[in-house]
Amino acid sequence: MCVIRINVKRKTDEINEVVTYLVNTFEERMTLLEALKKIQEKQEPTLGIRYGCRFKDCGLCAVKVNGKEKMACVTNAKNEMLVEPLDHVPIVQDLIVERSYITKMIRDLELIPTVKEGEASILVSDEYMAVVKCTDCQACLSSSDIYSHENRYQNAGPLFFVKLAQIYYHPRLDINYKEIAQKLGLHEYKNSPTIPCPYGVPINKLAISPFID
Amino acid sequence: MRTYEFDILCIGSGVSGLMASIAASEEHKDICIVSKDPFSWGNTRISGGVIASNQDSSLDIDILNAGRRLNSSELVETLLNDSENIHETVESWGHIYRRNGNKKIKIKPGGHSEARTYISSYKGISLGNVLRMRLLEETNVKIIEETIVCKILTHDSRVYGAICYNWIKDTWYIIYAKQIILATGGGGMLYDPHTDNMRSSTGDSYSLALQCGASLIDMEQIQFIPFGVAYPQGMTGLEIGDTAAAGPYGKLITEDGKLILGNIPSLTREEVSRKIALAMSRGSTELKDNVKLDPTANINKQDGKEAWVNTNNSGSLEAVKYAYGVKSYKWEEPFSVIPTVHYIMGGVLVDQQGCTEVDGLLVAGEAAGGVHGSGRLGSMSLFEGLVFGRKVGKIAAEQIDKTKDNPFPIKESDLIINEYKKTISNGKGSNSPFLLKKKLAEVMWKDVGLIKTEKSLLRAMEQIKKIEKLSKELFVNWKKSEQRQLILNTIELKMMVTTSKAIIVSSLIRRESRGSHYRLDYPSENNSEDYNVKVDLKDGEVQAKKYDKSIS
Repeated sequence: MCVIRINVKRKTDEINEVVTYLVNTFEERMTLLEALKKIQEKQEPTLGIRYGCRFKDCGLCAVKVNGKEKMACVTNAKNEMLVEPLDHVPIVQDLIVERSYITKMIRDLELIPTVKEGEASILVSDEYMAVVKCTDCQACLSSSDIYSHENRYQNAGPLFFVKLAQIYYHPRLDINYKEIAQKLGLHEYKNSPTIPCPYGVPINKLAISPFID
Repeated sequence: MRTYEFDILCIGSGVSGLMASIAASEEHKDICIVSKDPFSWGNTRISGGVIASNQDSSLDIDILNAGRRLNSSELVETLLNDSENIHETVESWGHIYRRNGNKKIKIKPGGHSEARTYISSYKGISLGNVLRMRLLEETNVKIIEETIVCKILTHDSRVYGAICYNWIKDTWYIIYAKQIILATGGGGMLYDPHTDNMRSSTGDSYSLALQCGASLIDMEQIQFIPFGVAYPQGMTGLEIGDTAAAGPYGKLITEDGKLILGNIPSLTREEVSRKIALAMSRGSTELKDNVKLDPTANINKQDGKEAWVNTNNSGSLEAVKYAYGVKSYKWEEPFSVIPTVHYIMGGVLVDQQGCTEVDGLLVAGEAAGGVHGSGRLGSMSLFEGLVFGRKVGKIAAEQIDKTKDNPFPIKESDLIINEYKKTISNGKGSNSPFLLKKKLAEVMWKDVGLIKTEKSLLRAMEQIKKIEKLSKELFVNWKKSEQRQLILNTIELKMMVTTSKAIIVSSLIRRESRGSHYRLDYPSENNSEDYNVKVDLKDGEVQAKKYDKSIS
């Protein structure tokens, strides 16, 4: 049996600090998500964590681990890890950040495609297969210093650029790219450093560059 | 506290809820779709995205064969009759199936006699995204996310609204509606961690339906997909695949290499899961031994290699790689498997229109029972969700036109919520809903799982009743926002207790083994008598009885 220390940045109405928890791992390997669930079950029932599928299909458990955005479900729990909520997105509680604004943004920004008339090509490109993997996990928003949640209606952020790219590379869907790219504030990202994605979506290459003149 | 008023309330935003809301919106009704997770998140999104098609005359025969005569033949008929253009419809919204040249690729998941299943371009995510985009086009649909429906409100056996809790905003709502569609999917979390379902799959529809006077059917029929991940901690129960995922040459072996089963793709999920369970338990009820899937013989054969590609495309081999390493992922060495809860075949009793015995309450998708009987073919859940979702949405819209009057007696909304809270917990105890949920799932897996006996079922009922008692004394403080997840889990726990009881009483009545239901004390199928098991909530007690459709 092995005991590890997990440091969690907590934020509630009453707490705003890093709290250290001891977790028994019993076996050699345990996922970070499992360790957080054990803390919630046995030590701190008010610890806020969000998760879904336990294996990176749903994108709900993204957090920052030692400063980098990770999916908690496919990260091994290690001694003295620092676990924090994502940056740049409002914190609901502890490791839970806001999400419902995403639906509202898609509607408000009219990121809704039309279907092309007639028998469009049904062959899918490698680019489409690369951008379709996005789970809205928000890691890209957290890791980009250009993104600001308060200004999201002028500068929508990489997550929404990927939504645009999903339409752009789709063989049958269409949208007024120029107008939408302008509306999303894509030009702000012209010289953006490489934006990481846990799912390997090449955001700069496929979701930013094609829309900048 | 807020109140809303709509024509139709749709609970759940997976394939069924989205299709129902789209269909009702096309009929120009005011709709509210409520999702416990973010909008359009759920099992649909994390599924492999494989969807059956009704292209030949034998699909109904396969469905009935897998269901071992417990299926509702009327619902199967409706499913097939109403499936016309369903794939063309989602394709016209931008959904893409994998193709070879111009032709859609077709595969043959567990139980199918023909290759008739299409593969989505990128698992369930691609379908989820297309349905989300299509729904967002509809301006008359209100979307409420991260909100659990706690109770359906009825008056004279007719629905008029629902009590809801938004666990992110820590806010209570009453949503008044004339028609309510239950589409919350299944309840794999009743067996956590032995499930491949989402955390939110706590079987809410079953309990919501029972509590407002509707009945459940076939609740003893819980589908275990044969190949789930055995370890490490945190990954137990994740899906590896169904019988097709063994490849044509894969076999099941014991820890020391002895053959348990071969020719796996020709068998149903039910047959293979039961075989694994009996090998693990060596004739007892306790699953103690390790069983391995040995797929290595596939890699030297052409059709074996193709099976690897298809299994990999549905995404499930990724979990094998992470849990067991690259050799297992490439099918170069055997790996441990354990059946995992995938789908609840039972569900709310509905007629061919998706209507229940409660006026204004409709059900679609996994929440409904009857289509699959005691066994379900692979790739049928998204198919069923697409078809019945669309149908039920349309029916709900038609019903609105017939019932113009406002059925609900407006009571003090605050009063309704306070009364509800009192039934949940006195807020004075010290028990944690997280631990009680964990305990409940342990009981269900151990005593109401792959191998059941009268003794194990009675023991389980006693344990569940203990958990129910403890659940009335939780340390829930309704006024503190930091308790939002405790409140959510408390509401879920209350519903899971009811659903667990429904599964146990149904399993007790079925004194035989059929499909997914295996009784060690009654190991054979009783060929002389076919019946369903119906569950009702009467005077606070969950009761089951044999149900013969031909008499009712």
